[in-house]
Amino acid sequence: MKLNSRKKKRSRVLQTTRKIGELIVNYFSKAWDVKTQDKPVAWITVFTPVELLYALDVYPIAPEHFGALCSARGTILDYLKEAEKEGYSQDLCSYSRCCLGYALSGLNGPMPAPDMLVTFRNACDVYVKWWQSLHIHLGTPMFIGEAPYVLTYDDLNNYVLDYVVKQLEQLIELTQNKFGVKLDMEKLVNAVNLSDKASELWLQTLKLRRVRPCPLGGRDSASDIFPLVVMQGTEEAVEFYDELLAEVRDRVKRKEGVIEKEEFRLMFDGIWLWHAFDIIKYFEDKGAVFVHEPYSEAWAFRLDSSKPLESIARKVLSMGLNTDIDLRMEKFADTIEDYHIDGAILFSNRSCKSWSAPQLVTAETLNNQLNIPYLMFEGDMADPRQYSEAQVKGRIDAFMEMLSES
Amino acid sequence: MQIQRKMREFSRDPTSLLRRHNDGEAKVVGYMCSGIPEEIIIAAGLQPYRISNIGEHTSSLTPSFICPFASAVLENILRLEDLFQGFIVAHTCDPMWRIFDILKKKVNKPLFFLRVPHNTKNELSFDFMRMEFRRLKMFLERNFVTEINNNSLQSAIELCNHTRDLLRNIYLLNRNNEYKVKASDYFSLVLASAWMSKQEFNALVEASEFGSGKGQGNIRLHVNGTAIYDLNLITVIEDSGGFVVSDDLCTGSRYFWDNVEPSQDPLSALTSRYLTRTPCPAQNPLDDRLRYLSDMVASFNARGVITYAEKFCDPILYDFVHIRNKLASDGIPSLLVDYESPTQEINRIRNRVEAFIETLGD
Amino acid sequence: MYLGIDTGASATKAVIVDRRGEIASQAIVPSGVNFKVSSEMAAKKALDAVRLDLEDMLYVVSTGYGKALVNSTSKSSEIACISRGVYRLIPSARTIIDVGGQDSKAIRISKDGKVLNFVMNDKCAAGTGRFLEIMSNTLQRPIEELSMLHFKAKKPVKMSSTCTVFAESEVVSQMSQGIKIEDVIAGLHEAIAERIYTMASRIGFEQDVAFTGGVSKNKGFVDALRKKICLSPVLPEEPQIVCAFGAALLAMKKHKEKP
Ligand code: SF4
Ligand code: SF4
Repeated sequence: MKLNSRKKKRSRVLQTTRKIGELIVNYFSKAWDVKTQDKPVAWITVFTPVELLYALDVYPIAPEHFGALCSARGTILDYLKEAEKEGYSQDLCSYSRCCLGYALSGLNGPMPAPDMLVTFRNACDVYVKWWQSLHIHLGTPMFIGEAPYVLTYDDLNNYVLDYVVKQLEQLIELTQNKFGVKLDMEKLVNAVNLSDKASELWLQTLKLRRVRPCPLGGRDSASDIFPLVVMQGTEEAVEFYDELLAEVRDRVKRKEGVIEKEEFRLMFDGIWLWHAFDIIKYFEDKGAVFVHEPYSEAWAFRLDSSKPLESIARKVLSMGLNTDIDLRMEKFADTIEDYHIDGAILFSNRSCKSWSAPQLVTAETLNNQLNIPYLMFEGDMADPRQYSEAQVKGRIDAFMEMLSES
Repeated sequence: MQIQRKMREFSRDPTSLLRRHNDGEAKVVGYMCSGIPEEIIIAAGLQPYRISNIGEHTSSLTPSFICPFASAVLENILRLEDLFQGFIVAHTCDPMWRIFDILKKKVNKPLFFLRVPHNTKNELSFDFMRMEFRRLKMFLERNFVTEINNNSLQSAIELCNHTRDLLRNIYLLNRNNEYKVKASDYFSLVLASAWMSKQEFNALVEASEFGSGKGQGNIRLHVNGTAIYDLNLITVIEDSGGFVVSDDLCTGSRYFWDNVEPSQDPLSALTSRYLTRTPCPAQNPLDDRLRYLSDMVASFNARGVITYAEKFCDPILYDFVHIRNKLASDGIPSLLVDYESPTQEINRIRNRVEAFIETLGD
Repeated sequence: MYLGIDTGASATKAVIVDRRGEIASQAIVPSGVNFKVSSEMAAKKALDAVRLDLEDMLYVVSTGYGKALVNSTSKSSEIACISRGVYRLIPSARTIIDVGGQDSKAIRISKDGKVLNFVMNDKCAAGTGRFLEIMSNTLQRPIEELSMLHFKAKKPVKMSSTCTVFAESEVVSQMSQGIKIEDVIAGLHEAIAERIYTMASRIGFEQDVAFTGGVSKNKGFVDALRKKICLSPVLPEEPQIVCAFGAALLAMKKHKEKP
């Protein structure tokens, strides 16, 4: 009889996922510890090599992550409005508006003031404009790195790679001079090993989503990615992914899926809607589970600690959005086959022009070449004012109906 | 004046020039950004042609929240593909970057993506950019079976420098509180220089007189923005009592202000010119751009600045905040006007421009 | 006597002032599609009321979107006209918020009535009268009725979206969930007030704040905006004609300056 109580809650979040909340709290409180000890804090964009910063004893914080968090907790509007009052248009990336609003309203919150601003232009060009703006408002020293668009895999070995490696060396030098620290080679090798380990564990975990029923859903992957974003190169991250992998393996062994009756396997292309996170559940309630997202794979990258800078440079370069569209589409094709995907959800995200601009061509490829039905809807990942739940749910209903009929 | 009328006609229908190139059996290579080194294209014996958003149909291949400029440019490329032998896209902003992605899936002509470093002041950027220019050179040589050597590069540089000199000299006529050239006239000249063969353009300009076309307005203004092909945006200022004396537009001074310095190694000379040219809204450092803007405003005695923003244009919409603040600290008022289609929204635009000029005139 | 004509997106207004700048007569007519016709109608109505002809007007200033189509002595921007009108009616005003059918504006003026700075809405229609018009269509109730319903609201809904397109579908879904119409209305008024507040913040608020423009006749909206800016606004008796009144005052000024 007891088992029946599970019937009501048809979909299940992993036990390990529930630990994320605590990790995040610790992560921010540690940032304040570092700050009060007068050690440097860097604000970074999420595809900046954190391993390097850890080895330099600089604590990295990612405002993008903060934006997602504020959006999920419903506290983002005040920051957005603060930026808009200054004159930042509502058409600009909402992560950046949130962060600029936070900076303009006195930095009162979980993110301590930065001692340094570091970015590599890879996911988008917004990074450059956003970091410049922060630099002007806060007067903090800034490093803008360039990770050129990877056109062929050759670029991961030629002058393009060289260029990025040299910039990493510049970053090291700048940090050393600025804060009087010294890059600890042992620490770097250690961080690279830990980062590689975390990536390996996460990739293994993701691979298990190929199994039917899928053991790990969108609500898990969206949260579980957190340690990989800003805690790469730490022991905590490895521990977390170790535990996660064990739990997922266990689920696979018990043939236990995210939802009771898995009818459809979907892919989600885009950044999650943090303020409307329950749409994942909405899909699950309709028998559909997310088995793959390019977003979840974006931070996983195998590193070689015998060539730490080179492999970090490769990682900075080859984050998903920064690799040629043909290479991206090839990957799509493989994924769809390996993960037995029935349909794709494309989130046309007003904030992220870099991601969304070519999405209609992606959709064409899905439809015409890969024969995968898709649903595209518009909204914003973090700004709840630019999203209509009623409209989106209506479209989901129609799409799911279509899937069930085919 | 004859030449001005001619140039205006071109700016209404640049495709006629494109067809003329094709009729004359010139091989045309299209590009969008003022940061593309036309010299290399010319040295390859090809005709560079700047692709505009004229025609203004936004493409159904881009989402609604991408700047209408990039979308219309994409549409123009797809519509006119047959008239080109190849395309070069520069990595400036997100929309342009992704237009390359879309083109890669949609066009069958040779395509080149120039990875322009966003951080121009980093000393590493020079070597990288030079490598990219070299890659461009090789791309053109390979696809058009031609050879680009130092001689052909040198003469292309001289040719383009001459065009720039001509444009700059006309532009400078308005300095020192003069009212000699109407902006709508010189902007159409700048546009034509990016569509015609440089030889033809230079000859035409040399044979003409400039400096007598006083406009009606007398409030001196600076115009800031990206690429403006719809000259209604300029004439609306002139009709409202303004006189545009300076700009930082991709279709204005940003295109022709700086010359290429002579050097033994033309590729290096080109690299430094394009890396250190008038700062572009998509690049870093922003401080340089703000300084440039302040200096232009001061040396041309502009009394106010109008910033035109394509709706959804990230570079301008971020910059505007800093530009406004910087100008305010210089005591210069500024106005932001956003738009999707200037022609259709001309009343809305006029309404704002007029009010702004009126407050300056008080 | 002097005539001011304001051709707005939804209504055309005419005001006649006497030699001392006092309002002698006024008229409001719907703009329709032809500003030439509507401006002639408005002028005629105002002139008829004081039994005068257009020839009796010493100077005519037109303003607004259709100003070029009006037969006037000279033309002026709405910013200048509104400022002048407000300066005469409420000399203590330093900030003006004008919400019209198509545009909204915030203006800062000095103590001698000079325009110091102004901002206008961007392309998005969310902070203008147009927004309320669309919503009134969606709800199929006239705006006047919505304005009064506002005060019956017990629990104004939080509109999550101010984007006109998204808000429309949100309103539909709220209504279908049985949420009371007055709560939806109050939520809409708050949403547009929010938008205008953000825009006006760019030039800042200085007391006194005057509200003008046709939408300021909507008491519900005024209530929401007042609460949002936390300052009590001063409202002219007839907010909708302030711009035309200012145009008439400008006509007087220009006539006197004429050599
Ligand atoms: S959401 Fe997109 S535009 Fe915004 S910071 Fe992330 S990658 Fe850049
Ligand atoms: S710079 Fe602005 S207008 Fe130009 S393509 Fe980029 S986003 Fe569009």
